[in-house]
Amino acid sequence: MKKSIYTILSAALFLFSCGEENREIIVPTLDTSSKHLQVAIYSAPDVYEEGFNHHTQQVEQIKLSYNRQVFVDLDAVSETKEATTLGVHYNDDAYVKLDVWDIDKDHATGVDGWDIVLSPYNGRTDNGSGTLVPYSLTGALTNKGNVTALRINKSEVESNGDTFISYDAINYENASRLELSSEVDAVGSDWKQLDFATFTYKIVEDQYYIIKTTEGVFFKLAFTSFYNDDLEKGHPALQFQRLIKEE
Amino acid sequence: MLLLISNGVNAQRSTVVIEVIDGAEKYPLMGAHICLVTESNNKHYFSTDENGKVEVPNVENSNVTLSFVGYKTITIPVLKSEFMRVRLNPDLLALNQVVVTATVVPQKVDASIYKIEVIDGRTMEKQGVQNARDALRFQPNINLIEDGVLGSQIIMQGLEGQHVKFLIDGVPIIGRQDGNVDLSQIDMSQVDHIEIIEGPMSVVYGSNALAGTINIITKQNKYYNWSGNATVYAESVGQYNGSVSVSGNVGKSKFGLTGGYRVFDGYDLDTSTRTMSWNPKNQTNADAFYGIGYGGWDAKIGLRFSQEDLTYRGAYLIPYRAIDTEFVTERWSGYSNFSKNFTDTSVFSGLVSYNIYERTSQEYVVKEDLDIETKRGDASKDVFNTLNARLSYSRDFTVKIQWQLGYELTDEVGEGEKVTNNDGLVENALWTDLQLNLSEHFTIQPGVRIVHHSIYKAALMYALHLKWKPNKSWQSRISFAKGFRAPSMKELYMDFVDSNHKIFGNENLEPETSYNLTATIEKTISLSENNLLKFNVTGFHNHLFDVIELASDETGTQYIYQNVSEKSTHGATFSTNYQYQFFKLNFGVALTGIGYDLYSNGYFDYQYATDFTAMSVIQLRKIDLAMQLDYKYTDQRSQLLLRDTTEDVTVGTVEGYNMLNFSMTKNFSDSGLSLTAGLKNIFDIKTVANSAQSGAHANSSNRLITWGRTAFISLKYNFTKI
Repeated sequence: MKKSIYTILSAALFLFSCGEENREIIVPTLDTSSKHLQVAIYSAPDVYEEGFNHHTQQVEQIKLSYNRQVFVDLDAVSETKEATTLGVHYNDDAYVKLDVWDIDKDHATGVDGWDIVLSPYNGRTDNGSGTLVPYSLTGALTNKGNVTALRINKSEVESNGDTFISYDAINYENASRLELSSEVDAVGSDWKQLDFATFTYKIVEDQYYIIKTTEGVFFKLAFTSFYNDDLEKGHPALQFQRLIKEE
Repeated sequence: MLLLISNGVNAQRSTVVIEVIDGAEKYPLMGAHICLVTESNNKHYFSTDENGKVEVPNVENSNVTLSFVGYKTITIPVLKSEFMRVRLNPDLLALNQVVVTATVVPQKVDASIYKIEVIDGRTMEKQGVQNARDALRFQPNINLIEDGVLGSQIIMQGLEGQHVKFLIDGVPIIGRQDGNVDLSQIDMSQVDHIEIIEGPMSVVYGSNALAGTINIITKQNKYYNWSGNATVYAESVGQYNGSVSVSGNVGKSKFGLTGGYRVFDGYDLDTSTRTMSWNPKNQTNADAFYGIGYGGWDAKIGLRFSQEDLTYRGAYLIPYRAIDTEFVTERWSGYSNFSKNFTDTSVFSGLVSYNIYERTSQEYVVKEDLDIETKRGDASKDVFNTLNARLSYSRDFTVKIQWQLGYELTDEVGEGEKVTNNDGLVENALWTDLQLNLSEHFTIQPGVRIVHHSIYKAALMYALHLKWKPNKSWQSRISFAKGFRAPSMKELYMDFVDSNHKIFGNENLEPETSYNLTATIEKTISLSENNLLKFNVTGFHNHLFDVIELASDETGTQYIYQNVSEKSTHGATFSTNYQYQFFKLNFGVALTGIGYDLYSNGYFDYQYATDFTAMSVIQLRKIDLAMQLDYKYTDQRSQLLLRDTTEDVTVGTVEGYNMLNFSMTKNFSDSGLSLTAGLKNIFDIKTVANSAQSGAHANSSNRLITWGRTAFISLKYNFTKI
């Protein structure tokens, strides 16, 4: 199945490249270079939602820190093309208040063939005694039913007695042997951690993800920041790279 | 002991020359203090010249009190002669130290019904002490915890900082972060001595005074028309301090001005990150007062100010970009105190203060490659204002019955972005204690305090103190007290909310209460004149109810202050002090057990730690040089951790460590200069391994102790004008 990726891609490229004026068949080499992407999950206009204000001890309109979701199609990447992204503002009709607890709200239409969506969502968190409870989170959900993913965390891997392979070192062979998860929050939000001393988000070190996209391609993906150049939060930045079988 | 040589018989002379000499080596003592008290209780102050001599009016039926730092104070009648020679004997054990905590009338530490530990200013100068953290570092029952932003926090008798009351000249220090006063913000350059009382003083000082009370007493100029000092201090870590102080007595007026500035560039143990272990901070303090004596009244008004500007350096969030946070902490204290001694042996005294505490934080976006720093968002400011008024009256009915009555008002308001709107906290308290000297050897003092609190129902606190002194050599004290601590404004109203981090105050908290029993026995053996050996054994037991702690709610994601459990601590201290003339040696062992009632079933699992302290001083009087060694071993601390009830209890530990300081002080009396130099933390302890974590804070595997071994030098210039 995985070996057929080439065939599919080649075929697709062949079909799309059949232009009227150009009959020559060009099969571009797959882009395996490292890509970088930063998206905004906050944008104007501000959005207010009813919520409990702990300062005034009253239910009132509270400004949302994150009001936008960005769908990312990783497969769209080529030597000449960046990943396709589609941003949807809270006020747009297409916006879905993603909720992993609700089977009607754990997916969205997004853009054709999207793989992950960066968004605020109602996720699940450990309450400290092993029970998962609903909690507002900010991170990445996968395209339900079409994408699988797995978190690779150094200390987790090592505590299982396995050898950790770094982001730089992992290859197609390693990735293809992994059992990926089909949970929509397989990527989730725990790639960042709040530093309580400064109330800033730090990226968890030695942690990345293997994602098998809608087109069945393996990508390695790591988050690099939650901030833009002016250090405004809500701007997740990530690097990713296609993994191909070495001949 | 005391030798008086009366010379001449002319009773009609109007003055007498008093010569003060060292009792052991017979050289004159320059700058010894003389207080002449006339029959009508008027006081006049004098000081000896470079020949140890002073001329005072010879008033009939008057007494003189002679004192000199490091010597025993004596009071003798003025003889009808023209010359008196008085010998003073060394008092390195400070038995003559006058204390003011919990008493309307200043008294000698030995005479107090409380066991008061004194750290005197001269010792602190010799140690190169700069702030309250330095001063308390070598105390047996006190441990310190460091935090890069919150500063230095205290643990006393196994209880955290929120149970310890801090006072400066009786005025409560306000402004606590996480329940703690940052000890490194309390400047020590103008401090005469510190009085430490372990155990609850709730009857006299109310809330917080549950584990203990620390009263910082500033210097007073009673003897000179003009007195002043200037100090510069440098420590090799990059700490530079300077302070200046001037005070004067003109007629019935007295006044003083003090200012200080301290610069610290920060210190980092791990230079691979941008964050620093010890954040850079600059501190300023200033103090001014005016006092007047009129019609038997003594009154003083003053203003005290301190500021700290700390920069927390954030980690790189993206290359060359970081968020720095500037924390500015300001304290203002306007105070007034007044007292009057009545002829019927009663004394009235009052202390009114208005205290402001402001903490502002402002974030900055730092773009290091572009060298740009811009404000990020608005500043966040929290302000707490406290009005504190204490009125007290004491009266000696007979020699056997002494009575104190007091009233205290505390009115606190707090506001800020993180503080829920509230009506403030008002506490009215009335207390009284009765000291009954049942016999020459036995004193008993019951006391009670009634509190009316704006939120909590009336509370009653009580205490019983016993003192037994069968002879000069033995003395023993026992106290039993009920303590009380109303929840602080922060515990009630302060919220700390971010998208992933939620700490809430809890308006439904109940006050903490406690019982404490402290017993102490002291034996002083006088081997010969100026050769003393002193033993002390103290035991204590604290039991706290409804302890307020930060606990997570059922979702595990929110933290809220709750009355969680009982806590119990007990321990014992054994100390020996040996003094031979100008040599002093102290040893101490302190055992502390902290008991946790993890399952709330009344079973306390005690975790013990044994600390050692040692101190040695030698003063070479002829060349006016003193050398001092201070040592403390802080034992490994174990803490039981129970993350949730389904888990097994785990033991977290904080590794033990040794601390050793050495310092030398040379006085140049002729020029008024004194030079102190030394080494701090000779074993170069920076962090210790820590596997105990708590609360909603990020944990680290190392606990910060100090910034490592440093050398320091301090130069002080003193001037006095009679």
